[in-house]
Amino acid sequence: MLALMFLSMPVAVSIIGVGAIGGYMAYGMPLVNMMGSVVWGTLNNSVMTAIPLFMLLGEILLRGGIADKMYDALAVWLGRLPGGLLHTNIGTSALFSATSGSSVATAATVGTIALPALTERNYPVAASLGSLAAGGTLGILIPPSVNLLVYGSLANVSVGQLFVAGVIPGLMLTLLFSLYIFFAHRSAGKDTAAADIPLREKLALLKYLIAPVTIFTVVMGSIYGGLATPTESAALGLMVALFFVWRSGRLNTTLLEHCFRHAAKTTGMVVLIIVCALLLNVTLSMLGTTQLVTRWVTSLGLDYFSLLLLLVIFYLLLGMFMDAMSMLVLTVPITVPMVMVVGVDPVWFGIFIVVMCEIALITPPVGMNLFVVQGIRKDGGSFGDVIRGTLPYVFLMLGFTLLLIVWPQMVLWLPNLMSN
Amino acid sequence: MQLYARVASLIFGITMLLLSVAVTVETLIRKLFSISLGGVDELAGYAIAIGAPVAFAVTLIDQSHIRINMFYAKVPPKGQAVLNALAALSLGVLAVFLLIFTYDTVTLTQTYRSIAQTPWATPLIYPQAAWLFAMAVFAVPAVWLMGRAILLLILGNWKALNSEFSPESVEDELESELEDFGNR
Amino acid sequence: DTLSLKVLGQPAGSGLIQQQKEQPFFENFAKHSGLDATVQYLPVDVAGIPDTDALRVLQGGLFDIVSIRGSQASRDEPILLGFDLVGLNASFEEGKRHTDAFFDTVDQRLQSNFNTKLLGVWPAGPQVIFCKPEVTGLKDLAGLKIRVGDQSVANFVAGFGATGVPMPFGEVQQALARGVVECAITGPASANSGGWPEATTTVLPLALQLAINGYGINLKTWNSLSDEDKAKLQGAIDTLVADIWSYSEELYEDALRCNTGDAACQHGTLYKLKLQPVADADLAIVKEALTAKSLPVWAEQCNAVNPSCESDWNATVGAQLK
Ligand code: NA
Ligand code: NA
Repeated sequence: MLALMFLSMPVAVSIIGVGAIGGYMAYGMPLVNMMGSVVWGTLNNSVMTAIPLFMLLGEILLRGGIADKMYDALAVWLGRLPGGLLHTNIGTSALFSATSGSSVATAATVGTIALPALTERNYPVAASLGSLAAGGTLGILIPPSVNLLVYGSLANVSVGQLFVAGVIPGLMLTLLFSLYIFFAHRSAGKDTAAADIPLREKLALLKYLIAPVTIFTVVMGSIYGGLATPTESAALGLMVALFFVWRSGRLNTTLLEHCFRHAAKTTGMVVLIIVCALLLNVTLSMLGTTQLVTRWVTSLGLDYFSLLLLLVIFYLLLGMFMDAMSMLVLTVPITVPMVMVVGVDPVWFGIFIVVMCEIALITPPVGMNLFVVQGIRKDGGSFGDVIRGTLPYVFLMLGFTLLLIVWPQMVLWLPNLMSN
Repeated sequence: MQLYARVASLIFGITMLLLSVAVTVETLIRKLFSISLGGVDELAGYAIAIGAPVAFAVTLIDQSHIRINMFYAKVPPKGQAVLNALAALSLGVLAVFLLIFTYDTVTLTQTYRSIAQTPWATPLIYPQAAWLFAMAVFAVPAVWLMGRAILLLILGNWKALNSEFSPESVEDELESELEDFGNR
Repeated sequence: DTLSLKVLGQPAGSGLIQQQKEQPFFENFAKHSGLDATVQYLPVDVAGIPDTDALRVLQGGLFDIVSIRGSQASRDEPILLGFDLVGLNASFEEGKRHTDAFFDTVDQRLQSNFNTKLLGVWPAGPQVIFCKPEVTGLKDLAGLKIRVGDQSVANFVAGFGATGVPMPFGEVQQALARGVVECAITGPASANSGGWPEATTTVLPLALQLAINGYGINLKTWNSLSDEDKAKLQGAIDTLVADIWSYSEELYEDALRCNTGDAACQHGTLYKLKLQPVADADLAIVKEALTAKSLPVWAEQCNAVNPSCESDWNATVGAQLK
């Protein structure tokens, strides 16, 4: 299967091709006849509906121009901190990839606004690019997150709980990134401090934060308050986003058509691999593979910590070469039963695995966010700059993962608070 | 093909928008008036079951079904052409299989006259017939593109194969995003 | 030679009956049945197959024996609901009588339409009402939102002015805590393990349904057995099913004790719910719902695919009621 993938066959086909042939050889037509039922069972599921709705929400926010304005507002407010605009990069991309289905679109938008400002004010190149690449990864941890949704539907864990569980680790990691910038790049952009802007203008700029903050509040508030399921909250968020874009006078059929096209494209990408992975899952469990792996791990007698450390290394290596979503979809059916044996909480594991996905996005040689950031710069510099700028964040995130392992309450405290 | 993808994404988007309106109305009146319309959850399930295969078609036409390009990028153009043809072939085969699976399931549903165990007790044949249609919406371009890729391979037209079937690279995607950004 | 059977079980997380009875039985199948057989047992959720598709799985022969979930599998064959109409089975004892009476009718239908022989049926346990506001009986439920497991119960609660809200089991505890629903219906053991008593005050132990499940075997597999083996297999399943009937009752009573703070509680977490005694008038309302609502609604659905459905039911179960 991995060979097929590395031969650049579509990931979805690689997943199911092997499973289908193995399953057919072992069980023949009866198994093949069940495949349609499994596809219907997978797709006819209102939790899955949240995927296209959040994708569409993200597209509308981004293409409706809300991200551009937000960068300007945050730049004024965060630009004076030691490290300056680098904080703005982290903040804006974190909030935006928060809803966007496509990290390329998010990075393109934020990067296009940010890079000219950064260059103009002589920010070090590697540090700038690094903050953009790493900041963008926060989006899949801070809810709403398509990756958490996919994990929830594969591992049969409440998506609402996962979203709530992502809040504190998301904020902590953002803070950690900011602290790093604060200490490592405190002199960045110092020599060309921005002109002083009167407080009144600064306050006026805050209005551009109203839309994203409202949408985040509606989405997370309705989930946390038990008012809505994640799917319903996505629909509410979508309506609010449409309202804001309409208010700003940018809502037209061209924009909508554009958003539909991109949302359909990213939805098709994600859902087809999920369908194929669940089909493979049936074959694997019927062949007893899942149980075999679980029993093998149990027989190793690994405890909680060593198993998780082993998984950190496993995901780190896999993530160097594989796309983050494919990695998630492919491994969850096997690793979740495995870690449950040693008493790992499935909600906690969802957060863990998404942090590992974040790392995968910025580790060379295959790191989506690295490619994207390299793609938006116009100075023609080498790919090495991007890697150099991003590498410190990889280590920060690995350290953060260890912190999650020794202190699981960071993840579980909020969802537990909600259920009591 | 572009027109096809455009129509498909319109169907997809409008379905999702209408669903969002229904869900929002349901959520609000449930909170404000303690009335449940019921069935909106059921509707959401049918929307994705029908919307997803339509979305597969859009992803297919945009050459965006995820492929891992590490090895691909290091292969000479002729080799890339062969890999592209194989990828198109495999997606065509997958789409046909999905269509057959779907057809089998829908046939059984019709035989049993199955009824969803949900608030509306919907005869399952209605949403599943639409689902079957959506799968066909995916299968038609998949088979068409498969045929075209094989034809180009037989004709030895590497250039056309690589321009029409190469996986959408980050650079291509960025370029179109930046263009989009410029137009805002 | 050795018989090899593939068995699809109840979901792994569905509770003690699966954990303590079903799985151990099939994992030591040779010992329990005296057959020379190996069994591959897979809970339905682990297999990744939708539990609504039990009858399709049996029909196609992917598994030889399937633990059928009545409510879910009725999607493809409504006759299964005839075992467990709302208001039909107020106690285990009634449930046993009615399912025995209807068994052969269902078995024949499954044999002729689904290539499946029914081996036995058993109750997951009475589905009772948990409420956040203190209620004294059914009349207090008017105007409340109640989580229901399926459509027939939704129809029933609508009968006295409540709104039935379908909701996945995992979401219910929080929905209760946040006031999205005021009451919810399930078995007391499930409610205990789901922490519902933390979010409710009262339990009304009025059995609306017994949640009937059962075992079916693919006919081709069944017919390939010698008469002697058939008898051994049927005997073993009979023993298992009888065991589950009494275990289910034991669990029900224990779970009620646990939920209401009786120290004799064995299998659950101890909570302090108020146990609201069931008024005779309420029992009568539930009984009435059978003839007024749940039977006619079901009969129409079932007759549509099987013209003799209602008359068969009347001749068997119906005869018991007179
Ligand atoms: Na997010
Ligand atoms: Na990587």
